[in-house]
Amino acid sequence: MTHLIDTGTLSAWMKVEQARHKKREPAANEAKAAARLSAEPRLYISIATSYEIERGLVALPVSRPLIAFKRLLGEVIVIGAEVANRDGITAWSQAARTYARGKAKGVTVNNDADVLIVATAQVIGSILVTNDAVMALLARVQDPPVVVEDWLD
Amino acid sequence: MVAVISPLVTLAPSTIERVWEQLRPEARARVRWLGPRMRAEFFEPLRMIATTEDFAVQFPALLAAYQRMGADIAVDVLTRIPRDELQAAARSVVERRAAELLHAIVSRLDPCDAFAGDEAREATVWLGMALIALWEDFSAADVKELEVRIVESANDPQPQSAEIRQTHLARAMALFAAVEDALLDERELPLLIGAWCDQLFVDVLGTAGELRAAGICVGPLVIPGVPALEQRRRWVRHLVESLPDDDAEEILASLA
Repeated sequence: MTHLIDTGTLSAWMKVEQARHKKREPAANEAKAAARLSAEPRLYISIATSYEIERGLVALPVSRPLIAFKRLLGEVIVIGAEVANRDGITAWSQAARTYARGKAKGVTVNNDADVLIVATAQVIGSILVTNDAVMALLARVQDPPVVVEDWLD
Repeated sequence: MVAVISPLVTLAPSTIERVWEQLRPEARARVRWLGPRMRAEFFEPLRMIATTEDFAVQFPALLAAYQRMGADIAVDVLTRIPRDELQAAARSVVERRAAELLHAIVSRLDPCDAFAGDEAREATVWLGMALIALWEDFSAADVKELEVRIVESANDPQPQSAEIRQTHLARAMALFAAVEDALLDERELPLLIGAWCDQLFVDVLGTAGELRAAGICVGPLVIPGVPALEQRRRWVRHLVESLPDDDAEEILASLA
Protein backbone atom coordinates (compact mmCIF):
# COMPACT_ATOMS: atom_id res chain seq x y z
CA MET A 1 0.00 0.00 0.00
CA THR A 2 1.25 3.50 -0.78
CA HIS A 3 1.86 6.21 1.80
CA LEU A 4 0.66 9.76 1.19
CA ILE A 5 3.01 12.11 3.05
CA ASP A 6 1.44 15.23 4.52
CA THR A 7 3.08 18.66 4.61
CA GLY A 8 4.11 18.53 8.25
CA THR A 9 5.88 15.20 7.85
CA LEU A 10 7.70 16.36 4.75
CA SER A 11 8.75 19.56 6.48
CA ALA A 12 10.31 17.50 9.28
CA TRP A 13 12.88 16.32 6.75
CA MET A 14 13.66 19.91 5.86
CA LYS A 15 14.05 20.80 9.54
CA VAL A 16 16.51 17.97 9.99
CA GLU A 17 18.55 19.14 7.01
CA GLN A 18 18.48 22.67 8.36
CA ALA A 19 19.67 21.50 11.78
CA ARG A 20 22.55 19.65 10.13
CA HIS A 21 23.35 22.67 7.99
CA LYS A 22 23.52 24.79 11.15
CA LYS A 23 25.58 22.10 12.91
CA ARG A 24 22.82 21.48 15.41
CA GLU A 25 21.47 18.15 16.60
CA PRO A 26 18.09 17.47 14.95
CA ALA A 27 15.15 16.32 17.03
CA ALA A 28 15.25 12.53 17.32
CA ASN A 29 11.71 11.96 16.04
CA GLU A 30 12.33 14.25 13.06
CA ALA A 31 15.61 12.55 12.28
CA LYS A 32 13.87 9.19 12.29
CA ALA A 33 11.15 10.46 9.96
CA ALA A 34 13.73 12.07 7.69
CA ALA A 35 15.67 8.83 7.45
CA ARG A 36 12.54 7.01 6.38
CA LEU A 37 11.52 9.70 3.90
CA SER A 38 14.94 9.77 2.31
CA ALA A 39 14.95 5.99 1.90
CA GLU A 40 11.43 5.47 0.52
CA PRO A 41 11.72 4.38 -3.10
CA ARG A 42 8.61 6.38 -4.02
CA LEU A 43 7.23 9.36 -2.14
CA TYR A 44 3.63 10.37 -2.78
CA ILE A 45 2.38 13.82 -1.85
CA SER A 46 -0.82 15.71 -2.60
CA ILE A 47 -0.84 18.78 -4.81
CA ALA A 48 -2.08 20.51 -1.64
CA THR A 49 1.25 19.79 0.04
CA SER A 50 3.05 21.20 -2.98
CA TYR A 51 0.87 24.31 -2.69
CA GLU A 52 1.50 24.72 1.04
CA ILE A 53 5.26 24.58 0.59
CA GLU A 54 5.38 26.65 -2.58
CA ARG A 55 3.33 29.48 -1.09
CA GLY A 56 5.96 29.85 1.62
CA LEU A 57 8.76 30.04 -0.93
CA VAL A 58 7.36 32.30 -3.64
CA ALA A 59 7.43 35.39 -1.46
CA LEU A 60 11.08 35.03 -0.52
CA PRO A 61 13.53 37.63 -1.84
CA VAL A 62 15.70 34.84 -3.30
CA SER A 63 14.74 32.39 -6.02
CA ARG A 64 16.82 29.34 -5.21
CA PRO A 65 14.57 27.72 -2.57
CA LEU A 66 11.70 27.73 -5.06
CA ILE A 67 13.94 26.45 -7.86
CA ALA A 68 15.13 23.61 -5.63
CA PHE A 69 11.56 22.80 -4.63
CA LYS A 70 10.38 22.72 -8.26
CA ARG A 71 13.22 20.36 -9.03
CA LEU A 72 12.45 18.26 -5.95
CA LEU A 73 8.92 17.75 -7.27
CA GLY A 74 10.52 15.71 -10.04
CA GLU A 75 11.76 13.27 -7.39
CA VAL A 76 8.35 12.66 -5.78
CA ILE A 77 4.95 11.68 -7.13
CA VAL A 78 2.52 14.56 -6.85
CA ILE A 79 -1.13 13.49 -6.79
CA GLY A 80 -3.29 16.14 -8.42
CA ALA A 81 -6.70 17.23 -7.20
CA GLU A 82 -8.28 15.80 -10.36
CA VAL A 83 -7.29 12.24 -9.50
CA ALA A 84 -10.45 10.13 -9.28
CA ASN A 85 -11.47 6.86 -7.66
CA ARG A 86 -13.21 4.01 -9.47
CA ASP A 87 -16.54 5.79 -9.19
CA GLY A 88 -15.16 8.88 -10.89
CA ILE A 89 -15.12 10.97 -7.73
CA THR A 90 -12.20 13.39 -7.84
CA ALA A 91 -10.12 14.38 -4.84
CA TRP A 92 -11.70 17.83 -4.92
CA SER A 93 -15.18 16.35 -4.91
CA GLN A 94 -14.21 13.86 -2.21
CA ALA A 95 -12.86 16.72 -0.12
CA ALA A 96 -16.35 18.20 0.11
CA ARG A 97 -17.65 14.86 1.37
CA THR A 98 -14.69 14.45 3.72
CA TYR A 99 -15.28 17.87 5.23
CA ALA A 100 -19.01 17.26 5.62
CA ARG A 101 -18.48 13.85 7.19
CA GLY A 102 -15.97 15.33 9.61
CA LYS A 103 -18.30 18.14 10.56
CA ALA A 104 -21.12 15.70 11.18
CA LYS A 105 -18.82 13.76 13.51
CA GLY A 106 -17.71 16.90 15.35
CA VAL A 107 -14.37 17.32 13.54
CA THR A 108 -14.16 20.68 11.82
CA VAL A 109 -11.04 21.44 9.79
CA ASN A 110 -10.66 24.99 8.59
CA ASN A 111 -7.60 24.41 6.42
CA ASP A 112 -8.85 23.31 2.99
CA ALA A 113 -5.41 21.98 2.07
CA ASP A 114 -5.57 19.54 4.99
CA VAL A 115 -9.02 18.37 3.93
CA LEU A 116 -7.79 17.85 0.37
CA ILE A 117 -4.83 15.81 1.60
CA VAL A 118 -7.10 13.50 3.58
CA ALA A 119 -9.50 13.26 0.64
CA THR A 120 -6.62 12.43 -1.73
CA ALA A 121 -5.58 9.55 0.54
CA GLN A 122 -9.17 8.31 0.38
CA VAL A 123 -9.40 8.55 -3.40
CA ILE A 124 -6.13 6.74 -4.11
CA GLY A 125 -6.58 4.30 -1.24
CA SER A 126 -3.30 5.12 0.48
CA ILE A 127 -2.16 5.30 4.08
CA LEU A 128 -2.04 8.89 5.31
CA VAL A 129 1.22 9.84 7.02
CA THR A 130 0.61 12.74 9.37
CA ASN A 131 1.54 14.06 12.79
CA ASP A 132 -1.41 16.44 12.81
CA ALA A 133 -3.96 15.33 15.41
CA VAL A 134 -6.92 17.01 13.70
CA MET A 135 -6.09 15.58 10.27
CA ALA A 136 -5.67 12.16 11.82
CA LEU A 137 -9.06 12.47 13.52
CA LEU A 138 -10.68 13.64 10.30
CA ALA A 139 -9.19 10.63 8.52
CA ARG A 140 -10.40 8.18 11.15
CA VAL A 141 -14.03 9.36 11.17
CA GLN A 142 -14.40 8.74 7.45
CA ASP A 143 -16.36 5.75 6.16
CA PRO A 144 -14.38 3.63 5.63
CA PRO A 145 -11.71 5.14 7.88
CA VAL A 146 -8.42 6.20 6.34
CA VAL A 147 -5.45 4.33 7.80
CA VAL A 148 -3.11 6.82 9.48
CA GLU A 149 0.56 6.48 10.38
CA ASP A 150 2.64 8.98 12.32
CA TRP A 151 6.30 8.74 11.36
CA LEU A 152 7.13 11.50 13.84
CA ASP A 153 5.75 9.60 16.80
CA MET B 1 8.07 22.06 -33.98
CA VAL B 2 9.48 25.03 -35.81
CA ALA B 3 9.31 27.18 -32.70
CA VAL B 4 11.79 24.98 -30.93
CA ILE B 5 14.18 24.29 -33.78
CA SER B 6 15.67 27.70 -34.35
CA PRO B 7 17.53 27.94 -31.05
CA LEU B 8 19.28 24.67 -31.82
CA VAL B 9 21.57 26.38 -34.27
CA THR B 10 22.65 29.01 -31.77
CA LEU B 11 25.43 27.54 -29.68
CA ALA B 12 28.56 28.69 -27.89
CA PRO B 13 31.52 29.73 -30.07
CA SER B 14 33.60 26.68 -29.18
CA THR B 15 30.75 24.38 -30.12
CA ILE B 16 30.01 26.28 -33.29
CA GLU B 17 33.62 25.87 -34.36
CA ARG B 18 33.42 22.15 -33.80
CA VAL B 19 30.23 21.75 -35.77
CA TRP B 20 31.71 23.75 -38.61
CA GLU B 21 34.88 21.62 -38.59
CA GLN B 22 32.78 18.67 -39.58
CA LEU B 23 31.08 20.37 -42.48
CA ARG B 24 32.28 20.62 -46.03
CA PRO B 25 34.58 23.59 -46.82
CA GLU B 26 31.98 25.51 -48.83
CA ALA B 27 29.50 25.26 -45.98
CA ARG B 28 32.16 26.25 -43.49
CA ALA B 29 33.03 29.34 -45.48
CA ARG B 30 29.46 30.59 -45.27
CA VAL B 31 29.41 30.66 -41.49
CA ARG B 32 32.83 31.98 -40.52
CA TRP B 33 31.30 35.24 -39.26
CA LEU B 34 29.12 33.73 -36.58
CA GLY B 35 31.58 32.96 -33.77
CA PRO B 36 33.20 36.44 -33.57
CA ARG B 37 29.86 38.19 -33.93
CA MET B 38 28.29 36.14 -31.14
CA ARG B 39 31.22 36.88 -28.89
CA ALA B 40 30.95 40.60 -29.55
CA GLU B 41 27.19 40.93 -29.39
CA PHE B 42 26.19 38.36 -26.78
CA PHE B 43 28.85 36.60 -24.72
CA GLU B 44 31.06 39.56 -23.83
CA PRO B 45 28.22 42.00 -23.04
CA LEU B 46 26.60 39.32 -20.88
CA ARG B 47 29.85 38.70 -19.03
CA MET B 48 30.15 42.40 -18.23
CA ILE B 49 26.83 42.54 -16.35
CA ALA B 50 27.61 42.78 -12.64
CA THR B 51 24.28 42.74 -10.80
CA THR B 52 21.20 40.55 -10.95
CA GLU B 53 19.05 43.67 -11.41
CA ASP B 54 21.05 44.65 -14.50
CA PHE B 55 20.91 41.05 -15.72
CA ALA B 56 17.11 41.06 -15.50
CA VAL B 57 16.93 44.34 -17.43
CA GLN B 58 19.59 43.68 -20.06
CA PHE B 59 19.20 39.99 -20.79
CA PRO B 60 16.06 40.26 -22.99
CA ALA B 61 17.85 42.60 -25.42
CA LEU B 62 20.92 40.36 -25.51
CA LEU B 63 18.72 37.35 -26.08
CA ALA B 64 17.02 39.15 -28.96
CA ALA B 65 20.43 39.82 -30.54
CA TYR B 66 21.40 36.20 -30.00
CA GLN B 67 18.17 35.03 -31.57
CA ARG B 68 18.67 37.30 -34.56
CA MET B 69 22.10 35.79 -35.16
CA GLY B 70 20.51 32.38 -34.80
CA ALA B 71 17.93 33.29 -37.40
CA ASP B 72 20.60 34.56 -39.78
CA ILE B 73 22.66 31.42 -39.46
CA ALA B 74 19.59 29.24 -39.77
CA VAL B 75 18.69 30.79 -43.08
CA ASP B 76 22.26 30.53 -44.28
CA VAL B 77 23.09 27.05 -43.07
CA LEU B 78 20.21 25.03 -41.86
CA THR B 79 18.29 25.37 -45.08
CA ARG B 80 21.27 24.67 -47.37
CA ILE B 81 23.27 21.91 -45.74
CA PRO B 82 22.02 18.33 -46.00
CA ARG B 83 20.09 17.36 -42.92
CA ASP B 84 22.05 14.13 -42.36
CA GLU B 85 25.32 16.04 -42.37
CA LEU B 86 24.10 18.50 -39.76
CA GLN B 87 22.58 15.80 -37.58
CA ALA B 88 25.79 13.77 -37.53
CA ALA B 89 27.83 16.85 -36.66
CA ALA B 90 25.41 17.96 -33.94
CA ARG B 91 25.25 14.55 -32.29
CA SER B 92 29.00 14.22 -32.20
CA VAL B 93 29.46 17.70 -30.74
CA VAL B 94 26.74 17.29 -28.11
CA GLU B 95 28.33 14.09 -26.83
CA ARG B 96 31.86 15.48 -26.68
CA ARG B 97 30.69 18.75 -25.17
CA ALA B 98 28.86 17.00 -22.34
CA ALA B 99 32.00 15.20 -21.21
CA GLU B 100 34.09 18.37 -21.21
CA LEU B 101 31.45 20.46 -19.53
CA LEU B 102 30.80 17.96 -16.75
CA HIS B 103 34.50 17.96 -16.01
CA ALA B 104 34.61 21.77 -15.96
CA ILE B 105 31.59 21.90 -13.64
CA VAL B 106 33.35 19.68 -11.12
CA SER B 107 36.64 21.54 -11.27
CA ARG B 108 35.41 25.15 -11.59
CA LEU B 109 31.78 25.59 -10.58
CA ASP B 110 31.24 23.12 -7.73
CA PRO B 111 33.98 24.58 -5.51
CA CYS B 112 32.41 28.06 -5.56
CA ASP B 113 28.70 27.27 -5.98
CA ALA B 114 27.46 23.70 -5.51
CA PHE B 115 23.84 24.68 -6.20
CA ALA B 116 24.80 26.14 -9.58
CA GLY B 117 26.98 23.09 -10.20
CA ASP B 118 24.01 20.75 -9.92
CA GLU B 119 21.86 23.05 -12.04
CA ALA B 120 24.52 23.17 -14.75
CA ARG B 121 25.21 19.44 -14.77
CA GLU B 122 21.51 18.56 -14.99
CA ALA B 123 21.02 21.13 -17.74
CA THR B 124 24.01 19.77 -19.65
CA VAL B 125 22.74 16.21 -19.66
CA TRP B 126 19.08 17.01 -20.20
CA LEU B 127 19.56 19.57 -22.96
CA GLY B 128 21.99 17.24 -24.72
CA MET B 129 19.40 14.48 -24.80
CA ALA B 130 16.59 16.84 -25.77
CA LEU B 131 18.61 18.37 -28.62
CA ILE B 132 19.54 15.02 -30.09
CA ALA B 133 15.89 13.98 -29.97
CA LEU B 134 14.79 17.22 -31.61
CA TRP B 135 17.42 17.00 -34.34
CA GLU B 136 16.25 13.49 -35.16
CA ASP B 137 12.69 14.77 -35.48
CA PHE B 138 13.82 17.46 -37.87
CA SER B 139 12.10 16.64 -41.16
CA ALA B 140 12.43 18.06 -44.65
CA ALA B 141 9.02 19.69 -44.25
CA ASP B 142 10.25 21.38 -41.10
CA VAL B 143 13.18 22.86 -43.02
CA LYS B 144 10.93 24.59 -45.55
CA GLU B 145 8.56 25.87 -42.88
CA LEU B 146 11.51 26.95 -40.77
CA GLU B 147 12.96 29.04 -43.60
CA VAL B 148 9.69 30.92 -44.02
CA ARG B 149 9.23 31.47 -40.30
CA ILE B 150 12.79 32.56 -39.69
CA VAL B 151 12.74 35.11 -42.47
CA GLU B 152 9.45 36.48 -41.14
CA SER B 153 10.81 36.55 -37.62
CA ALA B 154 14.08 38.22 -38.56
CA ASN B 155 12.14 41.03 -40.21
CA ASP B 156 9.80 41.48 -37.27
CA PRO B 157 10.26 44.98 -35.83
CA GLN B 158 8.93 43.85 -32.43
CA PRO B 159 11.27 41.19 -31.07
CA GLN B 160 8.93 40.06 -28.31
CA SER B 161 6.20 39.26 -30.79
CA ALA B 162 8.22 36.48 -32.41
CA GLU B 163 7.23 33.12 -31.03
CA ILE B 164 10.74 31.71 -31.27
CA ARG B 165 12.04 34.34 -28.86
CA GLN B 166 9.55 33.64 -26.12
CA THR B 167 10.09 29.99 -25.43
CA HIS B 168 11.90 28.64 -22.42
CA LEU B 169 14.05 26.63 -24.83
CA ALA B 170 15.23 29.77 -26.59
CA ARG B 171 16.38 31.28 -23.30
CA ALA B 172 17.77 27.98 -22.08
CA MET B 173 19.89 27.53 -25.19
CA ALA B 174 21.29 31.04 -25.00
CA LEU B 175 22.14 30.73 -21.31
CA PHE B 176 23.50 27.24 -21.75
CA ALA B 177 25.80 28.57 -24.42
CA ALA B 178 26.86 31.36 -22.05
CA VAL B 179 27.55 28.94 -19.19
CA GLU B 180 29.45 26.64 -21.52
CA ASP B 181 31.49 29.50 -22.90
CA ALA B 182 32.35 30.73 -19.39
CA LEU B 183 33.29 27.30 -18.05
CA LEU B 184 35.50 26.44 -21.00
CA ASP B 185 37.11 29.89 -21.03
CA GLU B 186 40.37 30.23 -19.14
CA ARG B 187 39.37 33.54 -17.59
CA GLU B 188 37.78 33.82 -14.15
CA LEU B 189 34.15 32.77 -13.97
CA PRO B 190 31.73 35.67 -14.55
CA LEU B 191 30.36 37.33 -11.42
CA LEU B 192 26.82 36.26 -12.22
CA ILE B 193 27.46 32.68 -13.29
CA GLY B 194 25.23 31.52 -10.42
CA ALA B 195 22.37 33.73 -11.62
CA TRP B 196 22.87 32.47 -15.17
CA CYS B 197 22.66 28.88 -13.93
CA ASP B 198 19.52 29.66 -11.91
CA GLN B 199 17.76 31.17 -14.91
CA LEU B 200 19.05 28.39 -17.17
CA PHE B 201 17.64 25.78 -14.82
CA VAL B 202 14.27 27.53 -14.58
CA ASP B 203 14.14 27.55 -18.37
CA VAL B 204 15.18 23.92 -18.63
CA LEU B 205 12.35 22.98 -16.27
CA GLY B 206 10.05 25.18 -18.35
CA THR B 207 11.28 23.62 -21.59
CA ALA B 208 10.54 20.14 -20.30
CA GLY B 209 7.02 21.31 -19.52
CA GLU B 210 6.61 22.96 -22.93
CA LEU B 211 7.83 19.92 -24.82
CA ARG B 212 5.62 17.57 -22.83
CA ALA B 213 2.65 19.88 -23.43
CA ALA B 214 3.46 19.73 -27.16
CA GLY B 215 3.33 15.93 -27.01
CA ILE B 216 7.08 15.43 -27.30
CA CYS B 217 8.38 12.70 -25.00
CA VAL B 218 11.31 13.92 -22.90
CA GLY B 219 13.02 12.25 -19.97
CA PRO B 220 13.39 13.50 -16.41
CA LEU B 221 16.21 15.72 -15.19
CA VAL B 222 18.94 13.77 -13.46
CA ILE B 223 22.26 14.48 -11.80
CA PRO B 224 24.50 12.16 -13.83
CA GLY B 225 26.06 9.34 -11.86
CA VAL B 226 24.03 10.01 -8.71
CA PRO B 227 21.47 7.40 -7.49
CA ALA B 228 17.82 8.49 -7.52
CA LEU B 229 17.41 8.59 -3.74
CA GLU B 230 20.56 10.66 -3.34
CA GLN B 231 19.24 13.13 -5.92
CA ARG B 232 16.11 13.60 -3.80
CA ARG B 233 18.23 14.14 -0.68
CA ARG B 234 20.48 16.54 -2.50
CA TRP B 235 17.61 18.79 -3.66
CA VAL B 236 16.11 18.81 -0.17
CA ARG B 237 19.49 19.96 1.12
CA HIS B 238 19.77 22.58 -1.62
CA LEU B 239 16.29 23.89 -0.75
CA VAL B 240 17.01 24.22 2.95
CA GLU B 241 20.51 25.60 2.57
CA SER B 242 19.34 28.27 0.15
CA LEU B 243 16.68 29.63 2.53
CA PRO B 244 17.62 33.06 3.88
CA ASP B 245 18.67 32.74 7.52
CA ASP B 246 16.07 35.27 8.62
CA ASP B 247 13.20 33.37 7.02
CA ALA B 248 14.19 29.73 7.40
CA GLU B 249 12.83 29.08 10.90
CA GLU B 250 9.55 30.83 10.19
CA ILE B 251 8.95 29.03 6.90
CA LEU B 252 9.72 25.60 8.29
CA ALA B 253 7.62 26.26 11.38
CA SER B 254 4.68 27.33 9.22
CA LEU B 255 4.67 23.97 7.47
CA ALA B 256 4.37 21.87 10.62
